Amino acid sequence: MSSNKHTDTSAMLQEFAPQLNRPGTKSWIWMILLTILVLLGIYALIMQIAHGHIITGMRDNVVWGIYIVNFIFFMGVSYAGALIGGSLHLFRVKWRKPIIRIAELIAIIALLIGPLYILLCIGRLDRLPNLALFGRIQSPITWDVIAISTDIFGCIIFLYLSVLRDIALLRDYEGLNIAPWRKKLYRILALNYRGLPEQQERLKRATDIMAAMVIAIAIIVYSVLAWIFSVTLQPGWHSTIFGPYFVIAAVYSGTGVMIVIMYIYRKIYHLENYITQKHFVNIGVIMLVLAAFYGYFTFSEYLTKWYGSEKNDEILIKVLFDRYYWAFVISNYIGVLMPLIVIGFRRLRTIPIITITAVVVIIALWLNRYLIVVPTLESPYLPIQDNRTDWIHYTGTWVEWVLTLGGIAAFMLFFTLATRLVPVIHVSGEDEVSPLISVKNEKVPEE
Amino acid sequence: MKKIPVIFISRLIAFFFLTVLIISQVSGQEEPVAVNLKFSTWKYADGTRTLVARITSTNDSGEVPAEGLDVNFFNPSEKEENFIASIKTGPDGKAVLTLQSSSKLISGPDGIMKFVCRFDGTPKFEASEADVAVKDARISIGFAEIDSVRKITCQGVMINEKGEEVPLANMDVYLFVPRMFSMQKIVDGWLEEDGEGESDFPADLVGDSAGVVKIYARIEENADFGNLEAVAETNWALKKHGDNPEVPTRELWTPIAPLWMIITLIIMLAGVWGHYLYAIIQLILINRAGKVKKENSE
Repeated sequence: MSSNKHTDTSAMLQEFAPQLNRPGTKSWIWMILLTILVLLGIYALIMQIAHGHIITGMRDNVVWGIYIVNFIFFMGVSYAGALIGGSLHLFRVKWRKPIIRIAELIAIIALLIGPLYILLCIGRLDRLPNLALFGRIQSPITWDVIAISTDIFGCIIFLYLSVLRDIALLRDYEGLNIAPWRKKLYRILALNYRGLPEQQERLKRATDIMAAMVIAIAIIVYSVLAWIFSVTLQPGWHSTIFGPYFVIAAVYSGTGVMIVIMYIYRKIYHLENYITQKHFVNIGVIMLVLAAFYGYFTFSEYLTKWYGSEKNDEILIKVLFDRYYWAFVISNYIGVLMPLIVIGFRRLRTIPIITITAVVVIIALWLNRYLIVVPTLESPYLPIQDNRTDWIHYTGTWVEWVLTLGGIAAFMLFFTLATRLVPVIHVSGEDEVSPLISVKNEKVPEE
Repeated sequence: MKKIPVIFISRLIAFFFLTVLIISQVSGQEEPVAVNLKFSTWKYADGTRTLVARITSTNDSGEVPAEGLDVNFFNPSEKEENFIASIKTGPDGKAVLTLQSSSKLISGPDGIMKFVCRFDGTPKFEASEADVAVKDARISIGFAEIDSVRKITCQGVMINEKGEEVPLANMDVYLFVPRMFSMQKIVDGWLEEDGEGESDFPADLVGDSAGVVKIYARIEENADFGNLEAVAETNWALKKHGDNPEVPTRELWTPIAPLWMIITLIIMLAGVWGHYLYAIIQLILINRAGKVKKENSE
């Protein structure tokens, strides 16, 4: 048994070595392209700092725009990664191995990108320390800062625990064509892990605990994010179901991102033997269930607003169906129905169709966040005391769109770099019982 | 089932969005829009006068202030225009010109001063012009205690064509106090034949923490005199008490959080970070076990 596992591991390492080796020309071109987009984003940021927020679309009334939408979106994607990764690990799902690394990486990378958008939204960054120096515990903003910091730390620990075995394997594998500094990095990060029974037991216990923790933390973090909106009195935000609604929408969007990344890596690294149609269908089924929940929560939210006929809710609904009609249709009709149809019918459950559906879901959920943030601010309780069009209606400017693109590029860049460091698929066996053996020289012990 | 080419569909979606973007960017040449130009003048107790021109345009959402437009002000006589100054409109669409009391203004034989404001137009906005004709006058405000009754007094004078001050008789005067969003009217007053008026000081008027309040007296949009304003300050108002209890209370809005909130947060964070600590300790022990094994095998 152990010799077969050893052979499997060795074969997998040989197969994944090219992914980890020195980048080829195409990889360099890809990373340079992403870096250029990130640098463009930095240029837009410099313009924003130099000229002030007047070059964005935000004004006195609509004070939150694309930046906050992106923040919520990335945090949601991160939460989905944590939930899926933690759940797959805790429930020892048999088919998890090829995709769990993707979920773990999504959890941490999206969590690093998302909060950056908050910093972009703050007009006076020099006042940021005041949040720590004079912050009030009663404020949802303070809760969010504490929660996100805790979540980042937890996701880093969880990711590290899950890649530890693979790093130990990479430390010992001589077939890698990598720079000496990376070999040293693997040596340090491997923490003298040798696959000893004691080490395996400790690692298993710690990973199980952290898997449960990241699920719980992610639920709390995203609920706190929802409460930033729902504890206000703004029509459109003040809702008792915002917490679970945000959580459901978050996981929903995260499954879409996960499917897209699975598709990309499967294509680029020819992982057809590992990431199979079964994985797409299984994640697709999760997406279907979440689509149903998302549709239910959305319907409940808008039905209660519409039926109550409260004046400001009516104004908000009018704004949604007037100015934001197509965004509303894509977000709440197409975004709900498409997965239900595609995954619901067996004949449509092909990898390309599921991936296209995932792309539509991502766009729909981004629009959902936009419809939560902007139309509400455009229809406050106290009518806007202004007539200037850009003070009444929000429209994102080039600065905001370039920074959005920069954030997406940064996400892809970090993902690319991370999968250059560790294999995108778990190489080590989850349930191995024999000591880890160097795959360079030592003989495999006979049973 | 046939494989649907993903690349083709992706390109189709990209083409669709590109088309929508291009169409939305294409716009035809716009004709200059008509503007609404409102012109008024204010005279203050210290003798300064302001000329206020407000330019707005009308669209679907109502009146929209026009910012950054040059407005020229004139004080015409019978023979010439007498350009005074050119002021740009601000974000609220207003161009405000302040004339000091020492400014020499031209008036007609009947004592009427004319002011003209003119906007010469831009490619986006049509030209417009407005004028006002007012006689010079001013009001003043004061406070007096008569028979232990606190009074607000107003006096109005008109400066006739000879430069003499003549009482401003039979005029409506309104008294205001500034509040958070706008001026609050407290008294509807009247100037008698002698140009003077008085009113009881409101006993329930609230000022600041020292009881200080500013009171504005205004004659508004008078056909002969335009707008007149005077302001004075007094500490006769009721003192506003701040909510400063000796012992700070724990509320949602106070500097110190409710106790239950602090305790809940501590328990939650302790629980979470305790688990993190456990995981880190396991990692340290994993490292130690590996080191021991390595030393033993050497």
